[in-house]
Amino acid sequence: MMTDRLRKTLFWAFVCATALFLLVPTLIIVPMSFSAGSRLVFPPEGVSLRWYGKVLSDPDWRAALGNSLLVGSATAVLASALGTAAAMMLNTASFRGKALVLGFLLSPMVTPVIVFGVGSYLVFARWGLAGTHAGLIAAHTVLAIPFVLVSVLASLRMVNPNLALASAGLGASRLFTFRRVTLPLILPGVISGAVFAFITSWDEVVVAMFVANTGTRTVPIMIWNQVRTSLDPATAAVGAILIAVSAIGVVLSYTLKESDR
Amino acid sequence: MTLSSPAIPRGPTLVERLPRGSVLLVPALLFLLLFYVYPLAQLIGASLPGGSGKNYALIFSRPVFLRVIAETFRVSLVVMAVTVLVAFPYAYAMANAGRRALLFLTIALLIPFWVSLLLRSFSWIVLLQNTGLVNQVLLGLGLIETPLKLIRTEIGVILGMVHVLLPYAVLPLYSVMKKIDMRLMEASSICGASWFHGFRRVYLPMALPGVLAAAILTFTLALGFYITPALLGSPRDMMIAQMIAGQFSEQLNFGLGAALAVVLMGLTALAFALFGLGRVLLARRAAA
Amino acid sequence: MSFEHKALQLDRVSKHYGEVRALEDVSFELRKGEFLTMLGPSGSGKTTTLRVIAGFVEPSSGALLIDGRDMTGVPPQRRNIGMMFQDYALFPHMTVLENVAYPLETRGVKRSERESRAREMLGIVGLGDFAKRFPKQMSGGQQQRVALARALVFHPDIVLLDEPMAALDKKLRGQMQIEIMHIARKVGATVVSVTHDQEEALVMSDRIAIFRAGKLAQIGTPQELYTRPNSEFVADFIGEANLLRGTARREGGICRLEGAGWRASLPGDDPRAPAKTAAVTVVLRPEVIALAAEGERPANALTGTIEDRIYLGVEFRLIARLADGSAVQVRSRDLARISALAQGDAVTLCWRDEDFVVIPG
Repeated sequence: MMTDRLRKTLFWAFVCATALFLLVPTLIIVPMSFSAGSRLVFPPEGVSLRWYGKVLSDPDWRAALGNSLLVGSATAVLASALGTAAAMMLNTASFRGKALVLGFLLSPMVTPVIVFGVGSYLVFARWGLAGTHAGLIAAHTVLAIPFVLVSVLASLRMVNPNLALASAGLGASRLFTFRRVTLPLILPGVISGAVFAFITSWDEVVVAMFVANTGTRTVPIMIWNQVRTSLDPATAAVGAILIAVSAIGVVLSYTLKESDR
Repeated sequence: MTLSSPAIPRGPTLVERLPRGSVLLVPALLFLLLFYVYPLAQLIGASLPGGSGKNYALIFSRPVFLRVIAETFRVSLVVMAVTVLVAFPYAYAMANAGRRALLFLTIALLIPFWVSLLLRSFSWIVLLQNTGLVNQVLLGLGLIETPLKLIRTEIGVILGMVHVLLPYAVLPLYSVMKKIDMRLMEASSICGASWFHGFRRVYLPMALPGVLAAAILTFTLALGFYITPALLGSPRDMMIAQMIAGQFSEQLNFGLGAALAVVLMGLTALAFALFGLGRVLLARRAAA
Repeated sequence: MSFEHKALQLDRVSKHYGEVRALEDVSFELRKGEFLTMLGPSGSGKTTTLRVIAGFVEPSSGALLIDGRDMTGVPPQRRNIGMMFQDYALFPHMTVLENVAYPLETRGVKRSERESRAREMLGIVGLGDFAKRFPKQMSGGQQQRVALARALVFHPDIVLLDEPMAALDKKLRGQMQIEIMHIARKVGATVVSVTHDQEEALVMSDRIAIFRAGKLAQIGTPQELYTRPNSEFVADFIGEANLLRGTARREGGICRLEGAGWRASLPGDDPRAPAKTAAVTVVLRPEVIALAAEGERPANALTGTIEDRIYLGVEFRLIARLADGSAVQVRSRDLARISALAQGDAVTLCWRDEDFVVIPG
């Protein structure tokens, strides 16, 4: 018969092992990127910044970084605007089929990306959007809208609806009320939605694979091509850069949310 | 209304009948119709060239396609089972942890959530290769004598996919579990139940909606996995997403690729429908 | 006389959480079939004591015996205790019948027998027709009966009730107090209940244990606690009490007690009389005080002025102000004489020798 204490110990050992399982493969890229050797192994062979130097001086990688930043930023702006507006309406209105509309707006989260990717590939070729930044931004915005929606809806739920009524009662127009009352209150939610939208695009590879061309390819596509040919510490360095940018975004939005409390 | 106005009641116009603020919803809906629904619809069109269903006939008659579909199902089921089994204790720990432990567990869960899936698969390659950390540790412990082949195998695919899907299973489980009143377990034990009996008869039935949500989310997401099996699996046990990509980028058989994509979409929708059914049944049982 | 174990014994049980002493040296015993209520303000240790008995809390020191068996290291599921939780903790996914049969299920009773026993118990608590319902389809009072049935169905050695009336509205409380007491008596259960409601404790209990700051302040029958409180705290916690402060000193064979505007005396051999001169507090219940007869000079008396006179139907409530400014409450049925009094009138109030309690300090 198992004692209580033994069961608790085994349980927490399992939970901690799971936490390690989650963290180690996620973060191991960072130490590997500082390797001085030319083989991708762990523990890394020595410490250096040579792979960062190599990546940042490589025109292809620099172009990809530029593309990723451009597409990611534009996606963040577009998805936040569309998502916030939709969230505003969904928060206040109650109508039949609301759950259906919400489900539709969130469905890109669970649609297999490969399906969406090849679908976009078919259509964009005809629309002349294939290989363009605009096409990539549009496709990534579709994937990012659900994240903005979830984030903004969560912060709208915290806002007392009487505030908007009070503002209207004081003679403010709806736009004025939004600008001066509601938006400042939900800003942390909008910003974290925008950050998530940026990261969604920043990390996305499957859709980009079908929509981008050599001129507009993003960092994940470069990594994808690299990984399939050889294991190279340069890839780890790029990966570490990707992680660093995401981390800055997440920490930023988290700090904003905390300072708001 | 004035006295002189005719007493014919006028129903609200279509615009008046729309919920307030509908205009705010229009941009997002239009955008998704154009860049999301239309491409998916086009895919269906492309899968039926000239209205002929020959692509589907091909898929459902050739063993090569059926095998890939079966393989996709099998891998997804295994991944689902492993993920939910690992996620359950983790979510339980989160639901019953103190503040600091909860913070640690949440961070450990969310960091992978925000690191690219591609990079994580890349890490797994490095960890699982013959000279990788996993083999080094196993060799060092004397558990094996020659390095195990872990990448380009099913083990690699399952590890990589479970790693990606774990947060998707933990979060719905956690949100159900944190609402379970732990005094029910105290009540169960004072009624004479062993821990295991109480777990089986009290805790598990109450956590079931979370288990169901976690299972279905991991299963449907697993069906569409592309990157992880492509990098960590062997070409022999290809999943359906890889085959779709192959039809578009290598075989250049768009019609067939589109049909495969539609099949994948259908399977995903079917899985969700089953989930909905399961939820309804659970709710009905609770209300009976 | 046949030797019989006490149903429950606590021997100097303490529980410390770091520096916090939740429970300190609590000792008491319970006979079989007795109904004990632990009463006290929140944080007084009564709930901790209940959880120690249940086995959810391991005491830091001291011993707990149930039916003569030491319970150290025995988990809740092997203590044979029934418990009714504060908000009942009914299993929401099980029917009423399944809930009540659960303790039998865990004891390996086979299905047909456990169902018939659960049904029988449901009949006893008056819910014979509700077996197939789910807990959330029932009212608060009905849920409470289900919880009670679940706690009783396996004939536990002890039944614990944690704030049994807390989740009920006021109207239902009085009715359920009596009903639970009757059911417990009918099945011969030994009961330990926890409450912060003194009326509930008085109605239901054979004995009451009063807790204060982690310690057992006093334990006794309701009458003992009411008529012979051992401290101001107990006097104040059970019923209403007037507290008169003064000094006691010996004068020949008599003990004289005196304060601002009042005096009393006890025979020198009365156990209440302090042995030597000391500061004392006299506890006077409002209903033992009477108006002194005209011209009478009673031995136990206080003088004051009428501050307020409230008519309550069967009785008057009189508030008199003493010389030192303290107020004394009186409940009296002497309607005719009190009606004649007016605010500001001087009165002399008196009480019998046996009707007061002396507490040192």
